[in-house]
This record gives sequence, structure tokens and C-alpha cells, in this order.
Amino acid sequence: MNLKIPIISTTIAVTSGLAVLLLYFSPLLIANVDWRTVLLQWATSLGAVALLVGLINLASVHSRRLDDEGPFPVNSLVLMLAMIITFIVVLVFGPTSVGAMFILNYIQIPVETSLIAILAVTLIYASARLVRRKIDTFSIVFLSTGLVILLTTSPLVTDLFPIVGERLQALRAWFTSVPASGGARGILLGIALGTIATGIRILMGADRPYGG
Amino acid sequence: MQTVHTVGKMADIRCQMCGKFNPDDLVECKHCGARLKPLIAPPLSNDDSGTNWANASQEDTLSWLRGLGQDEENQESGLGLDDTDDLPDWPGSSSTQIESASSGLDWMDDVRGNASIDSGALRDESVEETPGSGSLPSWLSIDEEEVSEQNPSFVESPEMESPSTEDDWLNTLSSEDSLTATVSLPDWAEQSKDFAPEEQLSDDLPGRLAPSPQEVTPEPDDFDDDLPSWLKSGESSLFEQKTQLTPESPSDTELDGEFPDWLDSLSRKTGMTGKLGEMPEWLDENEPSLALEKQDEADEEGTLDWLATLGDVPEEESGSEDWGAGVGSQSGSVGTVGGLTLDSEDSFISAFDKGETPDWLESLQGSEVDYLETSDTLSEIEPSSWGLEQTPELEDWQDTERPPQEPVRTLSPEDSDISGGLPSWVNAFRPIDGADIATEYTEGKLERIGPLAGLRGLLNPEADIAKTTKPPTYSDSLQVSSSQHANAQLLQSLIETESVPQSIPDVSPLSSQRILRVIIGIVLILTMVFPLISGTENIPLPTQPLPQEIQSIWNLSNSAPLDRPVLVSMDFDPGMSGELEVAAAAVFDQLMARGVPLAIVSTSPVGAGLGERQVAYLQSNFPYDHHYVYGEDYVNLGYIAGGTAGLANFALIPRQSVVMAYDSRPIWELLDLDAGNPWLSPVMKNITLLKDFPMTIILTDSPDIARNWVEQVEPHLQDNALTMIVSAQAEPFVRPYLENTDPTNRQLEGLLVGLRGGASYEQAKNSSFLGRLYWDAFGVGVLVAVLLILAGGGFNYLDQLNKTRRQARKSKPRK
Repeated sequence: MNLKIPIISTTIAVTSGLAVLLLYFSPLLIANVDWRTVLLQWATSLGAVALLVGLINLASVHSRRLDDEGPFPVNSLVLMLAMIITFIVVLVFGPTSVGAMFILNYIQIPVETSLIAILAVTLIYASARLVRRKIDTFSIVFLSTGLVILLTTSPLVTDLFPIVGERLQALRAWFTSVPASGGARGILLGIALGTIATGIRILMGADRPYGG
Repeated sequence: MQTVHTVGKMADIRCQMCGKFNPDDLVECKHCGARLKPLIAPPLSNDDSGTNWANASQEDTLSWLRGLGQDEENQESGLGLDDTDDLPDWPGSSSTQIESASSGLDWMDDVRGNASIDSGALRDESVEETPGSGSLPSWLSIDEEEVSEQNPSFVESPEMESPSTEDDWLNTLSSEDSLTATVSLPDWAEQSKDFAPEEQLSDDLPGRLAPSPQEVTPEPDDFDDDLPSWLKSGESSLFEQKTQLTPESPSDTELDGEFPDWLDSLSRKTGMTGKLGEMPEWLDENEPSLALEKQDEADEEGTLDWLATLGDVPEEESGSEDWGAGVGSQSGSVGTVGGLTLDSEDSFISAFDKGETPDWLESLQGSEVDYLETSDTLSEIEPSSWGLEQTPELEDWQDTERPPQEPVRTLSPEDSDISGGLPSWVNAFRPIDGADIATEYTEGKLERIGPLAGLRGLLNPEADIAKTTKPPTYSDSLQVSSSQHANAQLLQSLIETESVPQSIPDVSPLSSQRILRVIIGIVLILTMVFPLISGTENIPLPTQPLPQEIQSIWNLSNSAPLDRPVLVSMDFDPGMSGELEVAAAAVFDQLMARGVPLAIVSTSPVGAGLGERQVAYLQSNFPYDHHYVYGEDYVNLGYIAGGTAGLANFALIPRQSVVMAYDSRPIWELLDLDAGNPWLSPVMKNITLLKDFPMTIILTDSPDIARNWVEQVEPHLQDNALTMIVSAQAEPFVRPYLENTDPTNRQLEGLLVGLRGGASYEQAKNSSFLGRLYWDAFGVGVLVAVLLILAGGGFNYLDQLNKTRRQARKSKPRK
């Protein structure tokens, strides 16, 4: 027997999973307490704590970078300052305070939106480079599908060329409803089956994503 | 061993393999081909039950040897000597058989001389009634062939201790149609044939038939003490009812200086004389001083003179008188062994001269003694345990090695060097006769040394693990072909290149790719920023009628009650706010224009802030008649931690999962839990569970979040309608929850996708919000993106084509 297997954590995980699963089919009320909800509340609290632990870990990593020798980590300094300031503002003045909403409206949302904008430019450039890198059937189909969806999405084409625009709208609807939805359904079914398999593996202790 | 059945006039032999009967004249079973008759000896038993003691299992047969090794407690307490149940089968059975005169002590009959002994019989009256009394004890009648065949006939017999077992071995002794049962008396028995058996029965009996000490309580000089203890035990049991043992007076048992008492008694009867030095000293065990004196003398001589004397018995006498010859005579194919058995017996007994009485012999006085023996047991016993280790005869015998195919010689009295060192019961296992046949037909390794020398097919006494042969060495290198090796190297090179960081080649700032990238960015920004800045509304909003999924949202928003809030989940990242806020603006505007209360929640840490931003944007840019106040018109439930588990918990017990509102209270006011409890606000006064919400709107750009809401929350909504406002990238994953031919089983009531859906909603609402503002920029930007892809693709294709041509031109050799 491999003694390195985390017996305690595995036991807790398997027991909790089995309990939640069984209680899902047959709720158990002891002392007028629904133990299924109790376990779910524990999981929710642990999730919140995990988020806090992640923030602490991020702060510790970048704080160590600030102490390390070599080039000064400006990015780490900015991240640490932003984290500290935001944490203080939100904690002290509230999450919907003026200061907190200012940070959200004028720092966080523009920064993240800019990243999405850069993503748009990058995707266009990558599509243009696709024919340079490799030209085969799949690359041509991929690129053609993207172009058709973009063209059918654009209201300008529909308005400038009404007759063509209607056909393009119909083509887009077909792409969305048939190929895209069909592929998405397949992915969803795969996710469902994978979830079941993963759940069984976790309940059996074969898969231990919690470590070990 | 086969079983003989007499059917009518013809004796049939039942095959032990298939159980069918065969004519007596067949050697092999006509049904299965198995050998019906042993190679050496004929069957010894007529018992159909097959419970002959000789068929006892090997394990059982070993038990008596184990019993020989028992401690002296049994000897001291005399266990089993008084109880026939504890006795070995044959003594126990003998006592009863003698009493019932059913079969009698056959081998004792042999001792006393049976009907086949011309020189006179020392037959007991009860024995006279038993036909075939010339049989021997079956332990002496073990067929050598059976031993050589790993003794398969020594099958386990549960009746070993039962009366039927008594019949077995006695039946073995009984005459058979193929059993001549000619038993020769030993010399001493032959010489004592004239004297009354009733009087000297106990004296003449072998020790195993001698009465137990408890029964007889012999004097130290008692005649019985001259016998081996194993002779006594049997005798006590056998004749405790038949024979009243009367210890002789010490005067009668005193040594005359030449013979042990019992031999002395015999000598008085027969006139046999001898010297003390020729007597085995075990007979003088009650005379330790005398035994010690003679031991030194015997050691100096290196051999026992008396054995030599016995070995000098004329062949014709030994062949006809030795009782041990019954073994050979029973086989029917072997001549008389003569003095072999007696010699071996005496030499065996001579071991007591060394003062090394073997334990197994002492244990014969114990309770359980099985006179069964197997070759394995014998081979495992050290000679020292027999007390024969210093016996020259035994050493000589052990040193004797025969060639593998050399047939075993028929033992004769002249083989005193072999037989003299072994007890007769051991010799009974030896291939006395028919050995040639045995060696011819028996496969397996020939045993060269030990008591079973000359036998084949014996079980190896050593475990295979004990064999110290060097294990073969296997190469740890993988045997692969050249192609496999090449593929492995290719795979290894691929893996290595993945792990090694590739150096980015220095690209000139004016390289074509860098220029192309910059051009794409500039064109996109200019084409999209210009309509936003100029505020153009050149491109009209979609004029098509609202799709059904959007129409459902429209209807739900218009019919939402004012006393219960609509649950709105802001589950998207701030980077996607440009699309989702525009799409949701018209819906929020519709709800807020009617004054429908809102309850904002999020599974994203910043989602609650985005909800606050949405409400604040609409309220600041589109002044409504009903100004929304936090706590009165809307409430922010904040962030639901825990992902899927938190969402399930929220669906089950929303009041317990969210206990603090996402508001603007400073930290010093957070201690007032009631003030921060959103469920105590007027907005949530009618809400206990999620089903109490009239409508739920999920804003997300993630298919996973949409799936979690459908899977975890939707079953608890009941009358609460679940709708979604998603980005265009998540539409294919969400639409399957909407598309259901049965509207009652739809998991989604309404779906609004991206900027186009928001613009359509605004057009249907006939209002102008962010959708209208972004619509021109969106239209131009998408078209420009398509053009950039086409232009860039063409440029890259031509650039690559030119590069290929240049390389081909360079590589072409100049003429």
C-alpha cells in the first residue's frame, strides 16, 4: 500500500461527495437541519477562503519579487500598490463607495476592455498570417467560416446590400443554429459525461484534484 | 492399488482411476488404461471400501512419525496405552479383533507361525479362526511399488481410527486369492515355536504389542523391559484382555550374562546359546551398567557380532523362518528375504546399544502411533534421529549409490551391510523384488541414497526455493527494431524542442509583419473611433421583427410585477462590459422605466460592481420617473462564492447564502448586521426562495456560468422565468437550452445575444441607448476587420510566394 496517499483528505473528499450525492436523492433532516445545505454552506465558505488565500499568495509572490535582486520589478510594484489601495478603499469605505466605483469604472473596466481590443487586433493579424503559415483545407475552411460570420454580423453589409444582406442573415442563422449549436451540444454532452466520470473517480478516490 | 471384487466365479478388479471393474487377468484397465496391478506386489486388501490403512493419505501416514517425536509426557503418562482410541489403529484393532476372533493378530500369527510354516505355528486360538492368518501387519506389508510411486495408495482414510480400519489392515493380513501369505518366522520365533504362546506371548511379542507400563507395571528386570518400548505398547493393547501378563520374577529375568531375558527365555526353550556381546544392549536397558560396559566393547568392534551371528543364519533357515520374509512372500514374486528383516530389526535394535534410543521409538508408547510411513518422511528424518548415525552398517548403506538405471538387487541375508542398519519396517519400503519392473516402468529420478534408494519418482524432499541455482540474467535494455528506434528518437527530439525556449529572432522595426500589425491596429481604431466621436447614425438598427427568444424577454419585462424584484446576475468580466452592457441597457431601461425592483447578484467578484455601474449609468443618463434608491428599489446581494457549490447553495437557501449586502457602508457600520442584511430590506420582503422572483436575467459571456445557472438554479425557479443576455461568443453554447420543441420544457425562456440583440431590443422599444451609439462603429469595425483579414491574407500570401521564389532562384545553380 502506498502510504503517500493522503488518506485523510481522500476520506474527507469521498465521504463528503457521497454524503452530498445521497442527500440529493434523500434529504436528511437531523435536529431540523438539512445536512445537504450544511455541507454546501461549508463548501461555499471554503470557496471564499480559497479566493482570499489566492490573493494572499499573489501578494506574497510579488512582494518576494520586490525583494529579489536584479532589475526592479515595476509590474510587481504596480500590482502591489493597486491591490493594497483597492483593498483598503473597498474594505474601509465599502464596495460601492465613490472610491471603489472610481477604481472600477476608470481603471479596471478600461484596462480589461483594452485587453479585449488588443485581442481583436491580434485575431485579425493572426487570421491574415494564417495563409502565410499554412494553406490547407482546414485552414481555408476555418478562415472562410470566420469571414462569413463577420460579414453576416456586420450591419453595414446588410444595409448596403439588402438582398445579399438577407441571405447573409439567413446564412448566419444557419451557422449559429446548426453547425455551431451542434458542436456546442456535443461539447456540452462531453462535459456532462466528463463531469460524471470525474465525479465517480473522485468518489472512488482515483482522482484527487485536492492533492496527493 | 486396485480393489478385487468377486463377482460370481470370476474375480474382478476395480480400477481405482475410473472405478469400473475389470477382469482379474487384465493388467491395465480396459476402460481408462490405468494399471490395475502394482508392479511389485499384489493387492494386500480385499476391502472394497478402499479404506485400507495403507491408503491413508501421506499426511496421515506422517502422523505416526510425528507421534514418534512427541515428548516423553506420553511415555510417562502412558497416554493411549489404556485407550484403544489413542492407540494406533492396528494395536487398537488388534485388541478388539482378538476378542472377537474375527481376524486376529495376523502378523503375530506369523510370528508364532501360521499355517504355512511347516516348523510349527505359534498360533493363537483366536488367530486360528482367521483365514489367511499368514498375513503380516499391513505396515509391514507396504508394497515397495506403492512407496516408489510416491505412495498414492496411502490415501487419506477417515476410518483410520475406526473399526473398519481395523478390518483394513487385518484384511490386508488376511489371505487373498493372490496372496500366498507365506511368512517366515524370525529365528528367535522359530526357535521358540515349541513353547506355549499363551505363556510367553508377551515375551515374544514385538514391543509394539507389549503391554503398556501402566497395565503391566513391570519390574526393572522384567522380561518385558528387554523388549523395545514400541513393542510393549502394542502388546499391552492387543493382549490386555487376552493375555494376563504376569511379570516374571526378577530371578527369572536376570541376565545370565549372555542373553537378554527374552532371548534367554527363548534360549531356555530352544537351547539357543550365545554370548552377551552378541546381544543388543537395548535388551539390557534395565541393566545400564552392563549396557555401558558392553557399549565400549561394541564401539571398538565397530560392528555387532550378534548381528553377524544372525546374519550367518543359513539361508534355507532364514528363508523359511524369518517372519519378515512375509513381506516378500506376500508379494508373491520375491524370494525369501531370509534374515534380512531380522537383521535389520536387530541392527536397528542395536542402536540402543549406543544409548541413543530414538525418540520415535520412545513415542511408540505414546497415544497416537500410525504405523504408516512414506518415503518423504523417511527421507526427511535424519539418521541421527533414529539413533543409527554411528552405526557402521548404516553409513555403509548410505554411501551406497547405485547407477541410475541399475535395478535394485533383491535383498538377501548376505546384504547384511544394508539390511543390518535398518529397521524391518523401513526395509519393507525398499524395493525388494520387482525392482527391475519398477525401475523400468516408473519415471522420475532414481533415488540413490537413503532408505528409499532404488525407487523412482519420489517427491523431492527439498523445496524448489531451496535450490540455489543462479537465476538467469535478463538484459534490461529494450529490444526495439531500427524503425522503432528512429521513431523514438523523433519523438524525443519533438519533446526536447518543446521544453527548450526558442529564441525570438530579432525583427527589424520596419519589417513587413510589424508594419502590417501596426496598420491593422490603426485602421481598426480609426474606423471605429470616428463613428463614436462623430455620433453618426448612418447605419439603421435592425428592422426585422424580434426573434422569439427576445420577444419572450420583452414580454416578461413588461409583465414583471412591481412588488417583487427581478433577479439580475451580472456574471461577466469587465472586459466584456462593452458588449453586454449595451445588450442589457435596453432591458434594464425597460424594467427601470416601469419601476420594477431589482436584485443584483453575481458569481464573479466584480459582477456586483458592474451591476451597480449599470444601474448608476442608466439612472444618470436616462432620468426615470421613479428614482432608484438602494434598499428601496434595488438591492445588491453581492458576490456568491464557491462557484457551482455556492450557486447550488444559493438556489436552495438564498437567505442563508447571502447575509450581507453589497453596499456602500463603511467598515465601521458593518457590525450592524441587520442594516446590512439585504433580506430585511423592503425590496426583498416578499422573497424567501428563488421561485419567488418573477424573472431571472443572467448576463454572462461564459458558457460555463450559463450552464451552472441552468443546472443548479433553474430546477428551483419553478414559475420564475430564466432568461439570459449573453455575448455572441457564448450563444452557441446557450442556445441548446433554449431550443426545445416543447415550450414548457425549455430551460431558458428568453435569450438576447450581444450588441445586435441589444440594438434590436432598442429598435423594438423605439429608444436610443448604447446600442444606437455603438451600432455604426460596430458595423464599420466588423466590415473593416473582414477587409483587413482579406488584405492581410493576400499580402502574406504574396509575400510568402515571393520569398519562395527568391529562395528557389537562389538555390538554382548558375550556369
